[in-house]
Amino acid sequence: MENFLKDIKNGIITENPVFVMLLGMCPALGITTTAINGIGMGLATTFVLLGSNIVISLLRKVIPNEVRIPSFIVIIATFVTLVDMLMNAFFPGLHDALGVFIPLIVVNCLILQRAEAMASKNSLGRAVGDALGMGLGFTLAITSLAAFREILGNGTIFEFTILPNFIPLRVMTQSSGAFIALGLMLAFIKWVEITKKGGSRA
Amino acid sequence: MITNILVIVASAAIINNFVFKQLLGICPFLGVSNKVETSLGMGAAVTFVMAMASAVTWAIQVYILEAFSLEYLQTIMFILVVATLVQLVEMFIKKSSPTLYKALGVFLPLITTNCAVLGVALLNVRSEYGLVESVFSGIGAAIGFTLALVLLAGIRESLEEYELPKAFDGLPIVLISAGIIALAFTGFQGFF
Amino acid sequence: MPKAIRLVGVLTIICVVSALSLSYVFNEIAGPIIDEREKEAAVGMLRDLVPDADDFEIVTDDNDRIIYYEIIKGGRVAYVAIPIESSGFGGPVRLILVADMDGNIEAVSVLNHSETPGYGDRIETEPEFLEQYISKNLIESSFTMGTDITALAGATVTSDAANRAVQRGAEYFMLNFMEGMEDELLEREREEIFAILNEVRPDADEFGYEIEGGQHLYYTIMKEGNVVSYALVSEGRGLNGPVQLLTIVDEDGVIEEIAVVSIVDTPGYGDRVETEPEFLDQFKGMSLTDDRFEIDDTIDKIVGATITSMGAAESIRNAASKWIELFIEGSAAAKPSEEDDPDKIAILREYFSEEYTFENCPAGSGALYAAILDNEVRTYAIFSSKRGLQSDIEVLLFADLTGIIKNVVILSQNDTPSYGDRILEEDWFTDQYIGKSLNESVFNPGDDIDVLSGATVTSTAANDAVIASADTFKSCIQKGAGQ
Repeated sequence: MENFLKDIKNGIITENPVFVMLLGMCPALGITTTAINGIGMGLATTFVLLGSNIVISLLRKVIPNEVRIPSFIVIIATFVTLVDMLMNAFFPGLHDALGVFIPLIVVNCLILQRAEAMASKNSLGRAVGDALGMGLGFTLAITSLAAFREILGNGTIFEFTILPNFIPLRVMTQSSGAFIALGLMLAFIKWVEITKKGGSRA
Repeated sequence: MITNILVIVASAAIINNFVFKQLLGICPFLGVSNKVETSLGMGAAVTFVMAMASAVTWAIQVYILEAFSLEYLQTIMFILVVATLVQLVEMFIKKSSPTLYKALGVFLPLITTNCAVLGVALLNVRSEYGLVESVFSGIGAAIGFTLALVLLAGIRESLEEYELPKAFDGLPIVLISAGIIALAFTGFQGFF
Repeated sequence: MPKAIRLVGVLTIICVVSALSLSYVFNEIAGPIIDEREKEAAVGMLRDLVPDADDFEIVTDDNDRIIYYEIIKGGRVAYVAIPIESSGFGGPVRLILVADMDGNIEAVSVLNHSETPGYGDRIETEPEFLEQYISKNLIESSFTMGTDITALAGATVTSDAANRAVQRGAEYFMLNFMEGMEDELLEREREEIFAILNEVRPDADEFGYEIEGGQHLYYTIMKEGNVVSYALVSEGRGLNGPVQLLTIVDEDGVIEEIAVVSIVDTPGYGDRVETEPEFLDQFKGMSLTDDRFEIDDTIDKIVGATITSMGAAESIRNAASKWIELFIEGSAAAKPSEEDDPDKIAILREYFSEEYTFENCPAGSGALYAAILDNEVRTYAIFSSKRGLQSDIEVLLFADLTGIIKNVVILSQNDTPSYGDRILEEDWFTDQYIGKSLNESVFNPGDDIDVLSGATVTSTAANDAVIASADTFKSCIQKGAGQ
């Protein structure tokens, strides 16, 4: 249980996939125009992570080492297709907004990396904890990035207007805004770390 | 036909540049763009794989998925094709041209998880391209990817000479530079 | 080796389980919901587009996929709504196209899209773009981007996608709903020609026409109940488009009058074919059967409008060949009806004298011919063919009115020399059939019919052909006799 919680915390903070490990950058930049998209993409990725981590952990003694990568890819792709179909059925608006980035979850390096590094070597419990931690960490990261872009780019968050007299910086909703927003957020995180270290020294 | 193909290539390479506009292939874009030379190597490997993947996935889409109404297996089939193709290309180059293998070899395994490759295959289907159009759209996308890589690598090489605020050192400034190039690329929008 | 089997085995099992579970989810859970939602969304939207409709009917294909909707008003299908799509900037742009049964566009509306906010989504937020399509006609209007349709500035890709989708919709409409309208289109065309005839031949009492294969063959000009002249529509290539003329001739093919149906050439130049009657008057009195119509030779061109003049001459030449095809060649021949296969008639002529005529059964099939003399059927000739060793064995069989075989002729065979071709040399093989009855006899090879030893395949094929002839005979003649 202790391990389980540690794995979750590890995923959300210590090894946050986007902000620390710099994995899954394509969806992090590609779909973070609105906070809702961010949550949708984050949860979809979490679902795939959870499903593939569970199956891979259960099959870790069955799958021969030589065909491990193709096996992982098929398992991940299966869950991605599931998410694709279920989202299309139950959340059509979100499905259309995320577009080609849903099937592209399959090449999100985060998922294959967790399968390789974690699920294929550890028990079911730890694989689940890791998937939840990494998934939530990913969701949190891209949702905050998306919220940042939505506020600046549209003056809204979750489609509620919060800056009524604000002239939106449209560029933030475009692709160049994605790079700049992520760059600024990473710089901010670094700055916090630097000042923390500096503070403790003084 | 030729104008059509030119439009497809120019659109995939510049106007809808995969990296700057469609935000695909970001991982290798940030990972390999340290030096102009390695960028060119990666670009060549990607061009090769993208053109081939476009052709093969087109055939699979038309003759297997659509023919048997199995469109829902598209993601699985395509990613397997890309992975297999990368493997085959690697083996082929290794045997036939050791020099080329030396130059491209290290990049090839990275390509499987390059979402630009799977991305171009999926977008070809969504754009309802034929075989020739698909191949050229793949080549155009790869040219755009290489262009992005080389542009950013050039900037990163000269950035090394400057002292930056600590918080911006490393990836943050790289991302912001990429953002500014992307902004410049929006100037091409609406060309066609 | 067992290792390799295990590797492949595990991978295969994973793939199979994956494919099976996905197909289950797709077919049993997600797929129906997706379809249902799309249907509801579409019907809701149709209600907005055609508020006074009584009912909506969804037309699906064998896989339950929506093909189009019928919008019912006053107890009949008043409009069809066709879902159309093409790919835009951010993914597919899906539209719905509503048109009445004449192809007049009632509405074009967006179903869904993923285009960039502020750019491509203006296809939805700026209704002026899609309103351009309203009251255009799917059959007659053209939809060229730039000339007929103005793109949204700054959203060219999206505009193009929408336009491509409409063009596809128009194609679909023509392919699937044209049949009922064919007559109406013909009628429209006819009215146009009759109006021209009325002008140039005010002396006529009445005009008639002949239709075949969905096209007007020719028009007739009647006076006191008799056909006095014929009129043919024909086309040549002008500078900017076709030069369409109406040529009026007497029953010998001598030109009485030429009128312009349509010319799309430059005003002041090409249209002088229409405005300067001297040019077309040159053709009067010339014969469609005997004269040549060549610019600078038999015809003087309009100076400054050479290409259009040449187009007009070409048009008349086309009229001439149409005339010859319709009235000269048709009457000179022994009048085989249109469906008859000329090759088969030619073969039959070798066996029957010129006085015979032939009637085909089933009509146009080229299978059974009744040879008729003095309005009475004298003999039946039946063609059939079956695959031999290397080629088809074609058999012609003659039978009397009761179905007794009079003769069997092998028309062609290219089977192996000295084996298969013995079927041509050894008469006893075909002679076996003479006297047997197409109605009653059985033709089992080996029992009833001796096969050529060493040419079994060839002779069996020939025998099969005879059996096929018997079937044709029974279905044609017995049915007729029973009635």
